[in-house]
Amino acid sequence: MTAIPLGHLLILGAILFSIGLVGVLTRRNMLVMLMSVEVMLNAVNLTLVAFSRYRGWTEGHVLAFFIIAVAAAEAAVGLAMVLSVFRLKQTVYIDDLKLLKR
Amino acid sequence: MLHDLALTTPLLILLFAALFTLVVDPFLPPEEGNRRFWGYFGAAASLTSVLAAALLWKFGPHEMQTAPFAYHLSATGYSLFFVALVGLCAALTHLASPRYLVEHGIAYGEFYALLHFATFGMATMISAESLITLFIGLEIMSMSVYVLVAFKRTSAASVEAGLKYFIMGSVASALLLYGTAFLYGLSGGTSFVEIQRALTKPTTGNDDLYLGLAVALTASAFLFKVAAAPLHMWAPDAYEGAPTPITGYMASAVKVAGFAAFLKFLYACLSGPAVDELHTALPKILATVAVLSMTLGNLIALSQRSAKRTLAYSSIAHAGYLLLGCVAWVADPALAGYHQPSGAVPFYLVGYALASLAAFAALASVGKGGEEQTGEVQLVGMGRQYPFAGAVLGLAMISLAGVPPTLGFFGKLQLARDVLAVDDAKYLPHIIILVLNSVVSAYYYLRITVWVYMRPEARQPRQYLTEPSLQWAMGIAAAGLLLIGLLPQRAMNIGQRSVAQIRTGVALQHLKYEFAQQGPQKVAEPVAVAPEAAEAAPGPAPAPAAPVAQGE
Repeated sequence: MTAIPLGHLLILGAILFSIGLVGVLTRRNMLVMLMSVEVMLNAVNLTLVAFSRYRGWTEGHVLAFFIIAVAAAEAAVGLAMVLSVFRLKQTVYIDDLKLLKR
Repeated sequence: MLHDLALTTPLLILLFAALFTLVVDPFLPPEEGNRRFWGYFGAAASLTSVLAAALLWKFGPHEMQTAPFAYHLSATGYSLFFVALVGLCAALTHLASPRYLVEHGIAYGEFYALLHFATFGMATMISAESLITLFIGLEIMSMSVYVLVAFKRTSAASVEAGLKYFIMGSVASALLLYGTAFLYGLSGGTSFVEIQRALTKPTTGNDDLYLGLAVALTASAFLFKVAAAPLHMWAPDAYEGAPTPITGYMASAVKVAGFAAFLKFLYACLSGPAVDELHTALPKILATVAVLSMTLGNLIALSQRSAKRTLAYSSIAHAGYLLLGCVAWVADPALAGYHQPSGAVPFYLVGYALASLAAFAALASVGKGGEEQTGEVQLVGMGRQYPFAGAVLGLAMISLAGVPPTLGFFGKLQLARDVLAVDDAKYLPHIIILVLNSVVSAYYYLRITVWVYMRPEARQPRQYLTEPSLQWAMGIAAAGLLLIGLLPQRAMNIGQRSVAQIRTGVALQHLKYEFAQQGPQKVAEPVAVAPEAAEAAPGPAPAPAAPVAQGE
């Protein structure tokens, strides 16, 4: 376990975060966008836990737990909103939402 | 333990009001009177919370004891001032809502519970002394506001606005968190004190990279939350689609909370010798974003035909003005976070929040029957058919434009003075742009006033919501604008005193210690003001803040 250097985990975190960010910015399916946000949050968790593990700190673990809880709440709110959009418009693609002009 | 709880009374009142509303509402029969009851209850609860904050401000503990819960929260003058301000915004929103909700068929008790939760989240975020509490508060606030924006489930516009806001907002939260993770990696802690302590030593190698990333990520998250220019795209949609009282709430309370937390984070967390470089870079970035934001906001606002959307762009412009005020907080590298910040930003926020609330409460009273009616056609004739709301809307517009007898003018004046006091040669162009922008903005603010007063009226009279609670909301906001506008000095002093206490006593002690270790050249006398001393001499006359002389 400790054979993997800290830098590798941080880089993995950065890659995951970028994947998530690019996903939100480029995908048009709202469900996939929600998933991408979750990927970003988990990349943060990975970074926090990596720092804590390698430096023997504790607060990062605590914050990671908070983030997991908040991510769950966020998913609940997000899916509820996607659902209410789907009820009104029968679509999950954000490009179909153009009632409010950009 | 009890002491800690006592210090968080304003937060606890909001939390219990939310829970009480959630638990009791299902048991009340769904009559209109009961539905309105929650508006009055919510206003009363929010005002109680404001009162609690005021009492803590007046009789609160000594400087050293203002950080309850192991320094995760604070009850310093700064926190209390902004908690009281968002409490006031919440109270006015509660008053403005009931009739609007009934008219639009969304009169559910959950609305008020969510408003309380959002306000509680803001209060937590403002009082936060660690990145964990900051994040939790921010999320509680954001999540409640997303739902409030999308609260009109049957309206495609409302749901669409909510969803767009939600997706953009959760990306911003993720950015904030990623920045937090790097600050944690840098310092080994999440509390502002620990991070600042780590930053008193110059950083090297990887830590430099972490610091740069952390500042970029967290700053963009906050800039998103306050809707500053490159990250403002969500604002017009969210403002337009949201129920009008909620738009007022977003324009006032969410912006106040965002700025309060951002400033505290910049000032109490990201300062120290390690960030000297930042202290040369950060003011430049903030000033650029400020100029971009005010110019873009004002120019796009010129071409809008709906009052709600115009005010959304105007709120982007105001975020720009306020960011320029923030420059005065971070722009002094010689004193790297040690000089006393200016009270202009809190003062400006009071004026801006009251004007927005007044404007949106007046807009909420236009039109019956559940459709959004804030275009030119609907506003024509309002001045004669519903003189009170027309007058309030006019006053709010004048204040937002910054015309002299109102609060908006003194806010801008003080802001400009404070920025110029930092470095008048460097920031003179910015201030000139600010003044030019104010002139441009006067066009579209006055255009709304022209719609209200000076256009030939519609053939048949329109219908307006003439609910007492809505009129109270308009009246209180307008009275605040006028009264504080007539006596700006006192409000200015309160703002000044609040920023004098931005750090907790513990943080001050740490700083003194660290700087004593580093040698005395940087030690300006920190601003340890005991409440009694501050009482005796309100606003301990900081260098960059010349008090406003006019208007008294």
